[in-house]
Amino acid sequence: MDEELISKKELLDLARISYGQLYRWKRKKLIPEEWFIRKATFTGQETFFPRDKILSRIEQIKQWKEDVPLDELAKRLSPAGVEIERAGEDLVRLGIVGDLAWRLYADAVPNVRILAFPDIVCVYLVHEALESGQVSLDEARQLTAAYPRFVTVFRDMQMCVDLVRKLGVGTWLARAPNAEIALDPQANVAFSVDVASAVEQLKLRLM
Amino acid sequence: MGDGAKPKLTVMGQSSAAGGDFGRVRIMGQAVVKGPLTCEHLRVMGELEARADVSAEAATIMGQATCRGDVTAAKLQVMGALECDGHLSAGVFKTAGEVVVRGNCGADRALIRGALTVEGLFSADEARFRLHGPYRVREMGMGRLTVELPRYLWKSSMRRHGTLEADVIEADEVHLVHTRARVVRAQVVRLGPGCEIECVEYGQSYDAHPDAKVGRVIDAGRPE
Repeated sequence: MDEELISKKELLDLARISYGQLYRWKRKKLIPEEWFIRKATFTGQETFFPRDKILSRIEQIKQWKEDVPLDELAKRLSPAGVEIERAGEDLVRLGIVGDLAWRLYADAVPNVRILAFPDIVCVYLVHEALESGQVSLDEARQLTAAYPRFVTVFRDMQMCVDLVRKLGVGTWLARAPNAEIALDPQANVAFSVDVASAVEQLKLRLM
Repeated sequence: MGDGAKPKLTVMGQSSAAGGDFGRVRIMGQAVVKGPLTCEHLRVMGELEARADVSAEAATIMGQATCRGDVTAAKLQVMGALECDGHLSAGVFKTAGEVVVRGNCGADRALIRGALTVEGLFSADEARFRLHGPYRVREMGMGRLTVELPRYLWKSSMRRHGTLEADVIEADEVHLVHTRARVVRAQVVRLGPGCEIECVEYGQSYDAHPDAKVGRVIDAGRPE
């Protein structure tokens, strides 16, 4: 998937930050290494960034850095799992997931009361899927079944999850965020979610 | 001995250790550490070969240390030789020895006085290089970078000095002497004698010594 890129110089101008800040944040792992994309240009090698991701990340950092120490912020922003547990009802109460998503998840996965972080992500994905209006209840249920498998393959949760549908039959697909996929022309991607950014948002809201 | 419950590790002769979490680690002989090593104080006066990551609150290397993984320390002082195959990150990084980093090297504050090779990015909020030996860094990203001649008490002009070679230097403020670089990008650029820079892009101010060789100068602060 092609994303729009922004050069380092443009980024500094646009976000009004200095080289020192950019590198400091990189060093503190507030900006992931993968976002530094090297490309050859006529002036030699230059660094580019995925435009939307980096701009929103820098906004977040600027907003938080006054109140939260950088190391703490790095933990919240890193895609790695965190030790958070929440009861399903709490998530509903906090408005992170809808009641429908939680009930569906609780039906599909019996005997859950307290959710570990990866499970919270799963409920959140179900919630997002249902919210989009593109995903049926049955397909959402399939997602809860497929999710553990996705997480074993993409342990760092750096993945995109798509719902591919052909002739009304949907199936879930997890892929690396920048991986190209080619589909049967009759099939279409009904719903797509970037799990890494979902994880980030969840962390900001839960921590 | 004041380190709470954590064990100490002292190697005087020749020994190997599996790694682990320690209070104070002192290597006076030759030691091979096969697993990840975490400690509060690390002091190497002999020879240490770490086959995995090393992390310490404070580390002083007076002998020789090689690390096949990453090195992390809040305070890192090298007076001997340190070779790191992974990334090196330190809060305060002071060296008067020889340091080779194959990955990236990061520090909040750095004072470099020995010889240094960084094959990745060297980033720091504030770095000061005294040109005692040869420095080779592929890429530098700094808050403030100062490169200066070593300070000797007398006859300093007759002494030999090293140079800094870098591909790209990006910083808020740079003061350079005897530096060879392809690109220097900074808000404030001050070039001293012996600089050879292919391209300078500055934002606020630029000034160069007559002995500095500069290819192109671009004022990036001016809207085009």
